[in-house]
This record gives sequence, structure tokens and C-alpha cells, in this order.
Amino acid sequence: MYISCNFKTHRKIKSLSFAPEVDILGNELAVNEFRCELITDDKIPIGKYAALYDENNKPWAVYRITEAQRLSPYTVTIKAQSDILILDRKKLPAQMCVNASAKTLIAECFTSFGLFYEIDDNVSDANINGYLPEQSARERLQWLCFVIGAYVKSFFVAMCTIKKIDNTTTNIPLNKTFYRPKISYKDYVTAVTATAYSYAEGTPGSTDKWVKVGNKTYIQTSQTASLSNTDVPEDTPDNIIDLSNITIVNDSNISSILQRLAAEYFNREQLTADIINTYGEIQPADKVSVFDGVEDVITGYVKSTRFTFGKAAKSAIVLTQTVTEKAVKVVLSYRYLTNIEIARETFYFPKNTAFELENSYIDTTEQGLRRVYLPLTEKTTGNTGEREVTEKKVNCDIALEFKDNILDILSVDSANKNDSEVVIIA
Amino acid sequence: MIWIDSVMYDFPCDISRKVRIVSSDVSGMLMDRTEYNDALATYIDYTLKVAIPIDKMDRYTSFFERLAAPANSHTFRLPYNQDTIDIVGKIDSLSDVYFRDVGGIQVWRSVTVNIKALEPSKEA
Repeated sequence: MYISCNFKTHRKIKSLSFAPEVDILGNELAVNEFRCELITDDKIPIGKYAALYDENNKPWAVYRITEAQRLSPYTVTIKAQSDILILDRKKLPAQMCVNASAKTLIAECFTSFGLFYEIDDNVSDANINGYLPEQSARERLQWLCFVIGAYVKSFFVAMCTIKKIDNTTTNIPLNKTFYRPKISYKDYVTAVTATAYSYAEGTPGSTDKWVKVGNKTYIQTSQTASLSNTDVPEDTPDNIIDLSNITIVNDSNISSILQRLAAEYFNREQLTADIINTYGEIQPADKVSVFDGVEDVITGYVKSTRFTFGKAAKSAIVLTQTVTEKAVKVVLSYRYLTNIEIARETFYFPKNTAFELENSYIDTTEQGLRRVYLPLTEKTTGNTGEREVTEKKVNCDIALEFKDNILDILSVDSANKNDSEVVIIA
Repeated sequence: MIWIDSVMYDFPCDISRKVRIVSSDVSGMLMDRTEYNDALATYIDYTLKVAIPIDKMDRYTSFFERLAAPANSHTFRLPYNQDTIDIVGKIDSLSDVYFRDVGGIQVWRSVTVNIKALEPSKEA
């Protein structure tokens, strides 16, 4: 890892902490940050961006330096925070939305500060209806993301990016999960309620609720809906999560919002697990499944990922909105032509679930005197049954290792270690 | 013969070395019961057991003073396989024993220097 700041690259990093998080149903957007201690005598420019990159020059975080403390002539600590912090510094005026474009409203949150942002293509341009009170851009952005099922990604990107919550599940194999995940249980939530609002321009009566935007007055009507949790023990005291303050919840989106609230609060299990996450493959807001080490697979959304850095990287992930299902073991066996196993990975999937696993192998073709080895990716698909082990065998033509610019053939039928015909690694 | 900070000391000595392979905190047992090791770098620490001839006690004084100074690090040129290696290290400990006075010369012996490498000799 290295840090780029003020046109300089800092590789002497004494310590580094980075724990990005996303609370997709939270009240406010997380201000993600990284902290580091650098060996440098450079002056640290507060307010400028500092970027955390990996050795493949992929950005992990591009944040603004908000604090620096010089510990000695050659060591300094830095705290850098995402642009979400800036969004808290100004209030946006109230407005009444009638089929307003969500993308336009999101854009206003950033452009009013002159900040760069990106809206992912898969974010649908939903219509927003309702009242947006005078509020900080940070709060407004969270409201908008909440009602359209999106989140703000401020990690592994160069600028804040609005992305749709993806329901595709990534299975984390056993050889990437440290022993062993922990499950904690939250208190029962007996029901979730939400309030749908509608607004009509007019002159309010004495008992009417109303809001004023510019010179116009709107009469506010509201209706509360709720979902009860049927999976609670008898005599459980009421514990109701009430979402009544978001005035862009309306008749058309309230049912989906209640479902999402129920998914969050009725599933009481919270899983924490340490995983190998060297390239940041697993990120906050991803949906993943993890084997609990006993008999269940737990699927949920990643709320936070606290990184520990070495040559590789480890993440402590926290899952919410978890669903627990009985597990079936799937072993993916990597073989080459003579059917000798060169590697295997073990996964656990829920029962009766279709799975698709990606595995890399190397294809070989003859081109005249040249033999070309080409790394490819293949998908293995299947369906887990009710019980027992499902084994999938995948044939690899050869096994190669490419390290320190030297190609080494580990095993192959038709070439040997000194084969001069090996010419291309694509 | 050893070189410290580009200064040569021609003392007979036993030199032993100890390899440290440092792994990161991203290591531990995985759910498939295999041990995951994230090796970062190899460090080679040296121990010098130096025999000081009586006629070189003056030279030993400068050797001692150099190594006893509160320096962050020193560079050492030391034997390595059939070659030499330059390592940056710090003095982990330096000890000796006063033997006796021989003709007005204070004789020190059992000189032991433990050098801890600060820079890796191999990186993952």
C-alpha cells in the first residue's frame, strides 16, 4: 500500500487503519476515513486529498486530510475523511418534489459544494414525490438513497459513487475465512412501521398539517403502515421500529421500504467474520454468504470491513440483514489432464440452491512452432441437493506459476520445465 | 574481519546468524483448518563473539565507543554464504567482561555483539 498526497508518494507507512462502512438503512451516511502514521518530514497539507492505493495502483480511498499531527521530525499521523463530511457543512433549501428525478436531486447534493461524484449506470432514475425539508446535503443524500434502494460508495473509488444495492450473493470459501465466524443476537423487534406522506397545494384548515415551500403552502396528509414480526416468542414486549420522519416515503414506495426494514430488524443475527480480502474483493454493501463452521450458511449484507494490512489484507466483516440456512458442502477440485488434483476449494451453500463458481484455468493452443498458454476463466454451475457433498471436478490443461517475471511450469503433459516454446502469457 | 560504518576492524571473531521470517497479522487458521501465513520479509540477525588481542585494546576502544553510541542504526559488512552482505542493523546488545590489567593495559574479553537487522535481506 502507498499513500499519494500533494504530488508525493509515501511508502514508509508505520501504521494504517481503514474500516469503510455502509449502513444501507441507517439514519445518516457514514463518513469513512483512513488514518496512518507516515515516516516523512514533508509538510502535510490539511484540506487536500490523500489517496490510499494498493500495489496495483487501484484506489482504496481518496479522502480529504482533516487532521495531521507531527509526532517527531520524521513521523506524522494523518486522518483523511470522505467528502460526505463536507456535505454536512451546508443546508439545502426545502423543496416539494413532484415526479422529481432522483439523479438530479442527488447531483444537487454534490454540486452545491463543487464536489465530484458519480452515479452508477445501474441506479434507476426513480421519481421522487414528497417534501424535502431544509436539511444538510448529507441527510438529503441518505434520504434519497434510502427510498431508491441505493447507497453511497466512498471506498475503492476515486470519488463518491452512488450505486444500487446489489442482491447478487458472493460465497466466501472456507480457505478465505479465518476460524471462526461469530454470531451475536440482537433483541427482538416486534414490528416496523413507516409513514407515507402526500401533499396538495392549498389553504390549510386549523387542524391540517402543512408545509411551506417558497410562497406556496402544501397540506400534508399521512398514513401509517406496519409489518408485524410473526417469529417472536409469546409475551415479547413491544419493540417497534418507527420510520415516520422521511417525508418522501409515499404510497408507491412504502411497501418496499417496510419489507427492507423488516429484513433488517426481524433478522436478529449479526455475523462477524475475518476473511482474506487482499484486493478488496468484498466491500461494504456487498451481499455475501459465510459458513458458520457448524451447519449453517449465513447470508447478509456487509455493513463494515475493518482491514488489517500485510502483504495480503484481512477484513473483519460485519453482516446485517442475515438469513440463516442449512448448509451443503460443495468441493471444487482443480485438476489437469492426467486428472491429478492440483488444488481444491471448499464452499458451503444453502440447501437446494443453484450455484455458480468461477475458476481459472489455462488453455493451450498450437500456433505453428509456438505453443501459447492463455489463462481463461470458466464457470462451474450446479445445484446443491438436500444433503451430502457435491463434488465438481474441473479440468485444467496445465498449471503454471508466473512469479518475479519468471514462468515456471508446475505440471503439464506435453511440455517440460525448460520448454522454450512457451512464448506468451496473455 | 568485519566492517562497521565503512570502518574495518580486524578482530578474530565467531559470527553466528539467525534468520527471522516475519509474517503479518493477516495470518492464522482458516475454516478449512489450514494455516494461512502471510510472510512479509526475511531478516538476518547476527551475533559476533569477538576475541580482542592484547595489542589491539586501543582499537577495541574505538570499536566499543562506536557501537555503544546511541545511533539509530549502523551498516555492517558481514560474511554471507560464500560472499559478504551489507546489512543495516541496530545494536540489540553489546557486552564484555573486564579480565585484568596486563602491563598497564586493561584487558577486556568475552565481547559479544547482538545485531538486529532493521532492513530485510529478502522481501516477499
